[in-house]
Amino acid sequence: MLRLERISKRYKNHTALCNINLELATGDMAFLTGHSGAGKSTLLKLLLMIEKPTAGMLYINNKNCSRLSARNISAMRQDIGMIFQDPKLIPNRNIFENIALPLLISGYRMHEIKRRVRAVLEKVSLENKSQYLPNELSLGEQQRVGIARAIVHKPSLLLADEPTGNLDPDLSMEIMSLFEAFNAVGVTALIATHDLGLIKTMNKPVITLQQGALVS
Amino acid sequence: MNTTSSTKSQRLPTLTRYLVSHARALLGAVGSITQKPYSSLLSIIIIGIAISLPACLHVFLQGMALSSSSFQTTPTISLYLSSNTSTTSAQRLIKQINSFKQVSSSKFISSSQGLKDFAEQTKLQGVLQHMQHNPLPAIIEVTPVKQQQNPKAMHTLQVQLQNITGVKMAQLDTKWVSRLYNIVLLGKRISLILTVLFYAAVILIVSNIIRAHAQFAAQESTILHLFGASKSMIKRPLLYRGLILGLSGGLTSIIIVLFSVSYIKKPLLELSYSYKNPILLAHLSLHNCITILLASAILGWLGASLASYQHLNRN
Repeated sequence: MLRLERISKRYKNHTALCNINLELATGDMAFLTGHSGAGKSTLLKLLLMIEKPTAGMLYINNKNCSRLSARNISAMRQDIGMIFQDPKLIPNRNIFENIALPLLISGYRMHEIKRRVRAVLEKVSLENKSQYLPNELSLGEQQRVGIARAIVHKPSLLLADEPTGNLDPDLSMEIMSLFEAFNAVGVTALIATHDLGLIKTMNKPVITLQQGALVS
Repeated sequence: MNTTSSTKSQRLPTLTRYLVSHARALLGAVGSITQKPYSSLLSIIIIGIAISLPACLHVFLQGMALSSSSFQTTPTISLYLSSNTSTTSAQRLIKQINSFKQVSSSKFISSSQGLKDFAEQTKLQGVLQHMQHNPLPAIIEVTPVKQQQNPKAMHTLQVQLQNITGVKMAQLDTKWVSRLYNIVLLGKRISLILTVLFYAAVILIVSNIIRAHAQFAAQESTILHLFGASKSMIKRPLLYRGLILGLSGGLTSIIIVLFSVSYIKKPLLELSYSYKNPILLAHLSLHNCITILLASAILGWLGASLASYQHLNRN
């Protein structure tokens, strides 16, 4: 599903990632950890094709994604679900509209959009709040909306950048079990977090980055 | 990737998807304009004023052109015929001259008609009565077609007419033709400069409005981009917004021009009658209105393209 071959990313003044080799099979779930500045966010940016690697090859679904055109990048992203530390919801759109976004982009039929959004809202226990605006929800609820939006189009790859960063331990646990549930139905997931305590309870492979290099 | 047949059937066909995406962008643009009615109205009025200025100028110039054509301003070439030319050979000459594609019409003035006109204009009947024979030659007055009414083409035609047997002399008031031509040319160029300047202003105004909106909605664009929306998909609502602003501005400008024309009409007519030369004030025709709407829509679209190009390339 996901293969990185000798990936490096250099900026003007420093090297963010150095010679990374990594492979995740379809249906795998792994944690990406490391201190601040270790390169977690850069790695996720490369996977989401926000940035291009300076060297090396990136394969998603056996497709070389290192040098894609803007049009192909858009098409690839439609099969990726992304969750951010700050949920990045559109403030003037209600919860239904926020979650429906990836489906609208991919051109789904309206009845299918309604069906899927309802189903996913139920999954994240927000079925009664579809007409609320994001700022009317708690931070935990907003994060759940972000997760719902990331999985509503049933992506084959789920990427998360510190999804529990702003949440208390109980909520964090709840959200991790959501990821586990999605992974159980075959979604490949890579979750960047520095919450080592939480990782230990999950019993999943851990990828550790240190100063841009892979240490385990 | 995830393109099983069931997923495909849940999605819209490509063409429908494209049309639906346009419809959504249009609705989104209308929504974003009506969401802030006061500032949208202000923007539309500013665009309307900017478009109405060259439009007003155009209407007045059109009026002046109409008025000047009511005086005899069309340049002509006078052909003086040989004194022994008979009426039949003169008719043959007219036929020959009318077959020129550069010639719009020609008028025969016989030597006796010429003498009569001369006598009337100069009040020298007494002197002329004492003359043994008519010294004036017969004249053919040639009016060229509109495309040929410039100094260079007129001169070429003059040379051609001069070479016809039976024509003693072909005379053309080049100075006068050049003067008229240059006045018209000047008017047209001033009008063009003003139109270009004001239209450029409309593009910049729309671009600025769209840019401010795009900055406000930058987060939305980023999120759309991260979830696989193409650049054109993100750009589309902005372009429709520019189009609607431009069209509404065009409509406003039509109202402004109509109001200005009707407000000026009465005093202008009264003034012109006092000079015994009615100055015609052209009205805004349906053709003018369609042109204004089309131009304003294009300007709005261009302004929005400029803003969205900057916006997307910054993201």
